[in-house]
Amino acid sequence: MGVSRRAKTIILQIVMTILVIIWILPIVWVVSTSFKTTTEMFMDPLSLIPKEFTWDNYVRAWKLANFSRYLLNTVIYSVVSTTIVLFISSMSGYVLGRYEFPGKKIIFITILATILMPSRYTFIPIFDLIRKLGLLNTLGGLILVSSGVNALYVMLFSGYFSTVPKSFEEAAIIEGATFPQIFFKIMLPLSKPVIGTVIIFHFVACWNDFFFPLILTLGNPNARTLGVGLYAFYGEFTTDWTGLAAALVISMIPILIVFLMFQKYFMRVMAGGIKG
Amino acid sequence: MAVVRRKKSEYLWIYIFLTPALVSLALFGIWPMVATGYFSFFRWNGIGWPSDFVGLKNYFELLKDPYFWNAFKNTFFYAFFQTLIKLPIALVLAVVLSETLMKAKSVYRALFFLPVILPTAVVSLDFKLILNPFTGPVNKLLTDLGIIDMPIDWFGMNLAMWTIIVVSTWQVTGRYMVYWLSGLQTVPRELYEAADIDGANSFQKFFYITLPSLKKFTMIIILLGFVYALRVFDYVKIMTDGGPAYRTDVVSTYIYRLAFESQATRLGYASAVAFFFAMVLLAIGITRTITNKG
Repeated sequence: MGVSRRAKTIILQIVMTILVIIWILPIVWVVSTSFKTTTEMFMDPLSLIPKEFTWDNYVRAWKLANFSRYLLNTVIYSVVSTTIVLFISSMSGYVLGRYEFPGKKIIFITILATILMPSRYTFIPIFDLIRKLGLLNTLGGLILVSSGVNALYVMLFSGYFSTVPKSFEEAAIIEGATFPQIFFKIMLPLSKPVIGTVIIFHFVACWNDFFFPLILTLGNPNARTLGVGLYAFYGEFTTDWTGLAAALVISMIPILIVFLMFQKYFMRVMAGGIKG
Repeated sequence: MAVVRRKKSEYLWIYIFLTPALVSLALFGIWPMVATGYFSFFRWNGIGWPSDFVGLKNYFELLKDPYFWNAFKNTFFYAFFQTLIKLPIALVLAVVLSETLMKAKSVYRALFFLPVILPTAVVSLDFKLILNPFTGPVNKLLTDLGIIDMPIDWFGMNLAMWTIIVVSTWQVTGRYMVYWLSGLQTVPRELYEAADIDGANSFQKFFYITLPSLKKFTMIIILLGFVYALRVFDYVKIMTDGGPAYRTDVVSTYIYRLAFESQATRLGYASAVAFFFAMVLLAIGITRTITNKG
C-alpha cells in the first residue's frame, strides 16, 4: 500500500507537470518570440530561447506603435474607474445595508436586476449617449461607462456593513460626528476585505475589457487602451510578428505582476463569484 | 439592527449617498435596455434623435434575415461546445488538484488559472501568431514531425469556429476549475473516508460520491458557463471578424457590423436585433436565477 501510494504520487506529479507546462506554453512562447529577430522567428518559430537576443521589438512597439501611450491610458482608465466604482458602491452599499428609508426595497431590487441585463447587447444607447455628451473617443467617456453601478459590489458592501454592530457608530454620534464622518472615518476603513475584493475584480475587469474600449476609443489613437491598441496594431502592421509579440508582452506584464502578488487572494475572490 | 430615531438630516445624507449610484443605474443600467427597445421601432441612421417610426417592420425583417439566423446559430453552437469542453476539463483539473496525493497543489492551480487573468485581446492575438499557417510554431511542429504535408489553415472555412472555441476554452477553463474547487469543498469528507474503508478506488469515489453530491452545483455551473459563453465577442472580432464567409459570425459581431461598419448605418435595425437577442438572454438568465434558488 505504502509503495503504491508513492508510485501514484510520482506518476500524478509527472503527468500534471507535463500538462501544466503545455498549458502555459502559449505564454512562454510569446515572451520568447518577443526577443527574437524577425529572421529567427521565421526560420525557427519553435525554439524557446532566442539565439540572438534583441530589444528592437520592444523599441518598435513602445515608440512607433504608440504602446507607451496605450499603457498609460489603460493605467489611468483602470485606476480612475476602480476608484469611482469603489466610492459609488461603498456609499450606496452602506446606506442600503444599514438604514431603513422610503424606496429602499425598489432601489435594491432594481440594482439586483441589472445582473440579468445583457449589457453587451444594449450598447447602442450607451454609444449614442456618450457621443451626445461629446465624450466619444475620450478616456473620460470610457471611464464614465465602466464606472456604472455594479450589483455584485453593492451587495458585497451592503452585506458587510449590515453585520457591523450598531455600537461602532454610537460612540461617534455621541461625540458629535456627522454622517459622512462616521462613514469615511469609521465604517469605510472597517470594510478593507470588501475594498480589496472590489479593487481586484474591477481592476482586472477594466484592464481586460475590450468591447467598450473598442466602440468608445478606436477612433482616437491617443485615447486607445492596450486591447484596442493591439487590435489596431494587428490591422496596421500585419506582418510585424515580433513587434506584435513585444506589444502582447507589454500588455500582459502589469496584470501578471498584480496576479502573482495577490495570487491566493485572487483565486479565493474568483471562487466567491459563483455565489454572486 | 436596532431602530434608531432618525433626524431629518440623516435622510438627506442617505439620499446624497445614493445619488451617484442612482444616476449611474438610470444611465447605464436601465436606459440602455429601455432605449434599445424604443430605437428598435424606428428607421434611424444614428444622427439626431430617431423620428421615422416604422412599427414592427424591423422585427419582421429580423425574422427573415439569414445573416441574423446564421449568427444566432453560430452563437449557440459556440456556447454549447465551449461549455461542453471547458466544464469537464475544469472538473478533472479540480478533482486531481484537490487529490491528497498531490504535492504543491497551489502552484499547479495558479498556473492553470493564469490564462484567466490575461486580456482577451492578448490571448486572441497570441493564438493568431501561434496558429499562423506559414510562420506559426504549431504548423511548423506538425510538418517537422511529418504529421502533415501542407500547413493547416486553422482559421479556414471548416476549422475557424473550432479554433475559436478551443482558444477561448484555454483561457476560461481556470475560472471554472476554481468554481469546481469551491464546489468540491462542500462534499462531506466522511463520505470519502467511508468509501476508503470499503476499499473504493478513485474512479468509484468520483462517480459514486463526488458527482452525485454536486448535482445542484453542476446545474448552476452549466447555466453560468453557458450564459457567459453567449456573450462572446472579443475572440471572434479579433481572430476572424466573423469570417471566412460568415462561418464564425456571432450575434454580437453582427450587431457591431450593423451599427458601425455597414455602408448605411442602421441603428434602428441593429437595435431590433440587439433587443431580440437581449430578451433571449434575459429569459435564460431568469431561468438560471430560478434554478439557483430552487
